[in-house]
Amino acid sequence: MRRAIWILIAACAMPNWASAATATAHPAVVDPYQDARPRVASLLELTAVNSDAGAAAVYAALAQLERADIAELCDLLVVPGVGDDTRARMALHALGWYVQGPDRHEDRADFVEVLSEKLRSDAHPAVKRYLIHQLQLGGGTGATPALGALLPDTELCAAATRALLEIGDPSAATVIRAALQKAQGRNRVTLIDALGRLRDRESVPVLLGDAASDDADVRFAALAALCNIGERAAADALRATVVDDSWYNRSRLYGFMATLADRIAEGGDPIEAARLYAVLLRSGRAAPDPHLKCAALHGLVRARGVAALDAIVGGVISSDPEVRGTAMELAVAITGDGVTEAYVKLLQRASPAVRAAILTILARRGDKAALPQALGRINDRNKDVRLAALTATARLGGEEMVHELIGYLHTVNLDERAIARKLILEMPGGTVNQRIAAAVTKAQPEIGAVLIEILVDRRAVAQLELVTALTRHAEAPVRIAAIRAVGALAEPPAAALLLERLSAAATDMEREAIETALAEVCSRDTNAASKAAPVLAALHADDATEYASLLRVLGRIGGRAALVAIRTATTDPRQPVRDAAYRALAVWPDAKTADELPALAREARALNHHVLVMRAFARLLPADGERPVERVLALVQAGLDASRRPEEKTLLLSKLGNVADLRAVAALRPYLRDEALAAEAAAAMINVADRLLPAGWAAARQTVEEALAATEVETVRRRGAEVLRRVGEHEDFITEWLVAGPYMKAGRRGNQVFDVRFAPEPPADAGVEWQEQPLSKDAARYWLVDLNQSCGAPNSAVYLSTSLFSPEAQAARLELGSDDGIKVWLNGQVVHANNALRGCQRSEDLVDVRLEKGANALLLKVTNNGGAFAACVRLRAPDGGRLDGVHATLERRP
Amino acid sequence: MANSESRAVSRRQFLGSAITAGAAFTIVPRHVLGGPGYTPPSEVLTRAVIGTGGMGMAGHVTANKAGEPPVTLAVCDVDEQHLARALKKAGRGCEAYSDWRRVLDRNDIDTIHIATPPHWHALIGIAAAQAGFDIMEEKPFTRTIGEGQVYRETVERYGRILQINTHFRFGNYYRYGASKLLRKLVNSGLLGKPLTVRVGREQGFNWKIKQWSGRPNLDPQPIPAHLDFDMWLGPAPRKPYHPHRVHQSFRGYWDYDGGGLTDMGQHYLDPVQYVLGKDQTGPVEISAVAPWPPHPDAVTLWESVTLKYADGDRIILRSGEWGQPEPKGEPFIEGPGGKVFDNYRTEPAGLFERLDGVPDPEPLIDFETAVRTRQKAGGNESVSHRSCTIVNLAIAAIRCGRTLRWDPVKEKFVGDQPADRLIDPPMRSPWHL
Repeated sequence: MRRAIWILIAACAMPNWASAATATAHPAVVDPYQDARPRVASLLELTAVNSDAGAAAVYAALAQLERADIAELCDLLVVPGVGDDTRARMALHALGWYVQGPDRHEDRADFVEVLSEKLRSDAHPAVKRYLIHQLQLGGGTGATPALGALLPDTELCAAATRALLEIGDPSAATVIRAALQKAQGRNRVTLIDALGRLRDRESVPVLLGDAASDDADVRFAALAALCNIGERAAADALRATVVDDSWYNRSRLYGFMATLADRIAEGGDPIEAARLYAVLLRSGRAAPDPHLKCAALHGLVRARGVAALDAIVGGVISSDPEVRGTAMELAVAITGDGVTEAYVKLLQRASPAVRAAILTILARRGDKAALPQALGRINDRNKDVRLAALTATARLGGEEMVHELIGYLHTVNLDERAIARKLILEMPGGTVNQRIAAAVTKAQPEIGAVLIEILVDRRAVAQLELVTALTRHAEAPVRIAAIRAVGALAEPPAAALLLERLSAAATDMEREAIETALAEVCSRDTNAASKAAPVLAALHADDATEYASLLRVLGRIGGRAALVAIRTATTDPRQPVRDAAYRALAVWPDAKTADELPALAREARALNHHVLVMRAFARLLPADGERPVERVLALVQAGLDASRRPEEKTLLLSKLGNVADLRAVAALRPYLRDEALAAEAAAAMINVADRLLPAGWAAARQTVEEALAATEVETVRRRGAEVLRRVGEHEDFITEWLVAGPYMKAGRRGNQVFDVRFAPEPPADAGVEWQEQPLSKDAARYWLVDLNQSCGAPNSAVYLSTSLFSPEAQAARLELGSDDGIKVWLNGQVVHANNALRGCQRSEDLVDVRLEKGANALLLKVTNNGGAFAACVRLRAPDGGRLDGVHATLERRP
Repeated sequence: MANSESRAVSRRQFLGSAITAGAAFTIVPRHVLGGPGYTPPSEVLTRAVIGTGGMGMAGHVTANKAGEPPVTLAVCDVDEQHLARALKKAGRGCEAYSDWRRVLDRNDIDTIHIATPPHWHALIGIAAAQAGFDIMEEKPFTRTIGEGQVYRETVERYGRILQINTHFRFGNYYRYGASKLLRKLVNSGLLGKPLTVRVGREQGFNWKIKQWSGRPNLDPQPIPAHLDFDMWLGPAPRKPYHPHRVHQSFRGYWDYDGGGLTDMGQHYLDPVQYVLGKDQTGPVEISAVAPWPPHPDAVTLWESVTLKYADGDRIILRSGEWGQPEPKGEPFIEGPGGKVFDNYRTEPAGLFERLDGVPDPEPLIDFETAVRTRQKAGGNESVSHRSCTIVNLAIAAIRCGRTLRWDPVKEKFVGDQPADRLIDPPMRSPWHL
């Protein structure tokens, strides 16, 4: 049993022949753990990558381990690249987690002791490094001596230091300090960093010396450590170093200074901390930098709380937007007793700018107790204060304040009007819309119109009845606003009202508003056939003005019936009516009826009418895939036939570039010979080629080469070269396969049937049923052999077969991907095996092979544990380039 | 190597001040400077892109257009091949750097775009904030919770703007429609309490956990001449080079990332935190169903993770790629009062049509507006840290192999020293937080 499993593991993980690199033979498999002690062997069986053994079983096996077993696990570790110790590594890692459980002190002591002993041995540094990582995970204080002994080791110092820091033994600082005495270079930096992180005050004298080191890394590490420790003497060293000319380095030093100030504040001296923050307030490149001011303000609040309020409010009125933003956030967020009272007190004696700032702060803090202050300042002499008070009133008073805010829509001050409108618009609350609606009829006409606009912006559908009534209001501003509101909010039945209002329209502005509203409400009809019905029913030619109006509305609605009506009007004897009809066609929205436009363009007598229709036609040509290709080609041809000028033909040819079909190439080809249109035709052909990728890479290459031969235009040639480069990324994947399967074995998962021989494997048994593997449904991944499309099943193997025909014997490279495992036979010999659990990515495994002249039988076995089930194979020359003359086919003969 | 001169007023100060001045700012009309549509240099948010691999090139390095002020002024990478490709794409006006610290010496750059592997995110981001830059950063926010705590505090302290490059809370959340509407529905109380949110393959989410799995027992390989591997590792433990450990596939190794969970987690879970109104908190109990033990180095598979909040709400993640099959037909959000399926389908039907009167949530501010107005961006450091935290908590539960308890206020595990060791592991010197 164990033997069989080891073979699988080796296939999965032995890098020399199976993981990712090149492979040419199926080597002998050796069980690296065949002599393991029974308890170790039991554990190793459970610790495979992605095993479904379950944590409980692993825990039970871990519980059985004795010290000698742990030692054996350590002995099984090998230097990366010379063997496979995956399971031993995983078992030790599991142990690292396990020994930290409650009541496992003895287990942990054993773990630490054994690993410490191995660290003192002559094991390879790479092995020791792994053991250190496990001690970092599961080690306790007992590991400190062994880890400390490694600190002078140039290769292991960094890992050992990290483990000491993570374990958190109070004596770690002592051993690190001791090691620091002789450490140099990067090791010294490592140890200084560690002492800083541990905030080890006893190391301060040494660190102060290092803070003056000529070695910049040592100097910066020492300064960082001293500041994190909170050593005040570091401030002078920092000031001396800040002359560094690198802004990155100076920024770091300012950062250290902020940390030092924080530590001093934490140590109970906010005044001294504030002095350091004040240094930051004045610091920067050549002038104070705003982000440093921000950092200083943060520190001041942290250190001094409400006592920093003056500085914060000063920041809120700073000329620098960055400082203002930070100060405002701090001002809003600051907590403590009496903060609101402190703001109110400041308000009494402040300048207008500060008063406005404080009102804004109070509004954002949401303290309703400050509402009287806001109301009290609403008539302040200073405009900024008034605006801030207005905002605060709205925020603190809520919907009760709607009436108050409406009053400001009358004001002569445009800023106040704008802010009042915005505040009403954004006001939350269930009664706000009712309050606004109630105010409309009592307001002056201009204000009423503004209030109706606000109702629209608030999507106040419940107020539609009132708004509809207002479309008959005596005052034009209210009437027009109400018409627009009906257009924005009402359903199709409102068309009758709007048609009635059209007859009574007093001005062009009102007429235009009604036309727009009519188009909007009619377009909401979910039945395409009846969208235009109300307008068509009202359409009559007697009144040219109203006739033109309704034509314009029909032009926005679209539909076949509307088009018929407009077409009739294009022959109307009255010029304004004809103009209106063609203008309607110019904005025609309906792609379904676009095929009638070329005929209309041809019929147009005036060139400007013709141009309007042709532009609309080009705009409405369907995007790729919206209609059958032959239909699109016919449409473009009709357009070309109707065109009167090269500009229109150019426009239409470019549209053919959107069609991902070789028939578009055929349609473009004749224009390559037309001097005026050749470049456009070539560009369109290249666009078609791009759209044929990735599956149509062969046709794409041919198309681009043909287009490039026909033009010298540099931009087109550059685009062609780019598409050819993309072709190179997608070509030469094998998509012709026969498939057989799925093959399963009871109780085995997918990766456990990888080495189980099924009937298709050479020498194949008789009676294997092969069927054709369908092409990938995913055009973007045409190269994917999706086995779930044919015969996929969880925990199974599937076989794929094809023939490669080579004109001569030659070396080649198979580029493989699989989900999950893959084994490959070429002419009956295994050339690759990778029992992986992975997703299918292109060219993940590269396999050098030799092709015989003539037919070469290629057989794949793909295994699947669950989910996606796929493979991909690309055939290339050994150097990754193209392999000419070789092709795959399902036929047994070429 | 670029060399920028110091100025009395930095470009960023000028940009901010000018915008604050409002209409008075437009000193010379743009059409006078460069014709209609011309953008004056002072109105362009310039950027440096650090990390120019897949994500850096996909979403951050822009091509500087002829006749327009350049946008991408600097690109930085430890791989010369990446750097050359990025420089070619950005074009004129862009300079190349191999050491990100030198990028921070520039005084003509407004924003730092960080698109490195996640083990570098916090260090570069913290340094950028300390140097006064605003930050656009690839997800995940940080590799560990401890890094996130320091990073968040630093960005706030220095008054910087940060946006994580995931935007599903701003607009539509995959097949479930507008995040804002989902949040309104939750706020309305129509679904009742507690809520269960499921984020699995059955709900249309692909966690890509096989795709981003690591490989155990890799053969050490020679380091390519074009790659500064020591700088690539940075704060991560030193381990032998293998191409699968770097570029894109780095996601499969705990030292640098957390597999599909961290690749997709912030995309999938950041909007869920927003929808549930839990942007400033986190779960209190986390459990996982996954293979145990985990591989110590390579990210491996998992079946499900359940994150439970103090109010009883739960988020259930299911990979669909290991373990038991996912239950069929379960809703995305479920509460005692209703269920939410895709495309606004609900049980009972029409719940989204009953939201009149439910106030809209505060509008979310995009990165560029945030930089210009100094308001917090919608995906700022605080909410990004919280959503990244739940991803890292899920990883902790998978690696520990047992149920964990979390204090979202103190941001520490409750009485769990082993799990605490995953919060803030020490970095490889000379790098430290």
